[in-house]
Amino acid sequence: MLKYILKRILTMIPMLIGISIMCYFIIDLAPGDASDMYFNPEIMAAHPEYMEQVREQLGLDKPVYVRYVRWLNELVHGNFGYSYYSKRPVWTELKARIGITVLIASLSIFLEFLIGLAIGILCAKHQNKPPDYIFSTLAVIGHCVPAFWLALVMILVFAIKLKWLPSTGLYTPKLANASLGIRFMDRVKHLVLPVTVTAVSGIGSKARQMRSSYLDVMNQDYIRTARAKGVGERAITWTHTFRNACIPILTMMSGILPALIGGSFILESIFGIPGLGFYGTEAILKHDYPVIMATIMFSSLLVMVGTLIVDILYVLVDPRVKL
Amino acid sequence: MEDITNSNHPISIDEEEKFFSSNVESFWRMVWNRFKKHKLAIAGLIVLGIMIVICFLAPVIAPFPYEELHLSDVPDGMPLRPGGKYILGTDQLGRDFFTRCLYGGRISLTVGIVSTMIALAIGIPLGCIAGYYGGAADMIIMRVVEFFACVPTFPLLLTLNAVLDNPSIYLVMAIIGIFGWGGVCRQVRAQFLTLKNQEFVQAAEALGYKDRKVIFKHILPNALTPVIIIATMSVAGGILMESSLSYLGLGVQEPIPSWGAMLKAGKSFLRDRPHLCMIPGILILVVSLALNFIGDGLRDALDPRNTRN
Repeated sequence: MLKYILKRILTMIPMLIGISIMCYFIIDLAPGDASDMYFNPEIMAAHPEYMEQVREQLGLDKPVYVRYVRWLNELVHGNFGYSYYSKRPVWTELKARIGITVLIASLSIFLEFLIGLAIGILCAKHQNKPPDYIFSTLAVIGHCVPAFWLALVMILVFAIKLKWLPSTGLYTPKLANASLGIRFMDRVKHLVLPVTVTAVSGIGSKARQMRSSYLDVMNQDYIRTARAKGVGERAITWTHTFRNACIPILTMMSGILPALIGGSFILESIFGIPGLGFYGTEAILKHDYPVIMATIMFSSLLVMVGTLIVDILYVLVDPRVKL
Repeated sequence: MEDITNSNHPISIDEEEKFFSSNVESFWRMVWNRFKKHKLAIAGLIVLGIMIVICFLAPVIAPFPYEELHLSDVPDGMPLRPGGKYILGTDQLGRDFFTRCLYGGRISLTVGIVSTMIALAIGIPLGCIAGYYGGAADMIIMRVVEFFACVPTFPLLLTLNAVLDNPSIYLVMAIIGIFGWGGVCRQVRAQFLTLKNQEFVQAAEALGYKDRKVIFKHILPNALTPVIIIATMSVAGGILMESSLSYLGLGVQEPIPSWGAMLKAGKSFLRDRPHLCMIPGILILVVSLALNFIGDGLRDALDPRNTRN
């Protein structure tokens, strides 16, 4: 087990290098270079000899692969570079934000499993009856709805019309000195909309998957055997059917993480949540390249770590799998 | 025993021939018959068909040109409500919203379809090579597919579009397609792995046909059915991707409308003119639902496990 985890962590390194190469070369396609970000391009154009000097200092006269190797070297030594805009080290800005994205992602995954699996089981148990029709249709809609549009609808309904929940941010500034309990409730209120919207598409696909996989398992011989020998309905549902029906859901899980983390780039900017995704989208729109590199590297790392955790869970659910 | 069963079920030669000939001509008829039973899929097909016809007839149906400004009708920059001269109101520049929905649909549907074509054009040949030849080619191709499957490609796509600075609509289609061929490739490869050891392929090889002929004439047609399902879903994916990109201002650029770009423009008026956001969103949802239902129907109709029923 430990050996397997170690091996998986080692394979992450070439993957991360791969994505950083891709990202670096994509950025290199951009017209202009970093010197435009640091200095007024018009002044620079008027003094070509000064521009050359600056470019040489920044290492921009070197070909792209030399710059990439330098960037990688700095990265290995823990330096992610400096934001073109705030001029602060990327890492100091980034480290506070990762936690927020991880929090929202894990809450939504928890919600996806809780609600998605429940709906799936409900549909399977009432196959081809009204609850099945209603919830199956809802699940497909949830699976198809564009998340960013759903976010706007939720903001419109719950924040603007009903005024139940705040539309943006993570806390109410004027409550900064309130007691811990009030601040906690405030944080929960701010998280409701983003977490729900992030989870909806996953709930839909998990419910559909769970329905079909539960139906498959329900018709297996060993379930009939269990019933014949008088196992209680509850034990059949949870120990016999549920656990086996979960296996394909977990396989699907690792495919969802990239979309979940990728989706945070758009959802966090709609809800104004200061997480990794919002930071990344802002940087992309402002062409803040060191920040783009760092956010993409970290979102990939999050996905890979998440996938590893899912694979370990797989063993816990299905003891037949040997790592 | 056999004599008895035969005499119990007398089948004249005529009937037998009819039975077989009707069975032979009609794999697609059989699929269609099964597809027809899937009511939601039929509904999806009808809705999608109507949408496509209306959107592509936009130049005929639309009451105004899509970029025509009516600034005098919106003096305070506040979009008009639905009704009156403009069926669905206007945007903040006084452009007819109904017209833009039609043209936007044309763009969004085109992006979905073309990006899927590109994904197929890359994914099918690579899947064929990986599945048929195996070995080093297979290893390299599958590593690339796995790589794309387990890194978040959305931010990369955003970066690429941002870096290209106002990418043309064709570039947006190409980029979405280039990032989306992994699923197709994996599916084609899986089909090839099971098909390449079957007798008809061995026969074709034994007859000395060139690899190209074996791959494209003998194996590929048999491998395509699951690809059709993936392609249906991938059109929906392409439309969603385009709308996400356009929503962030990194996809289709003004003044060309697309449903995503219209959502982006409408969100500033979310409080007072919610229909500017609701309509494009519902259109995206409806198209995506229609395509997913069609995909589900096709899956049920094409699934070989169903042939016995």
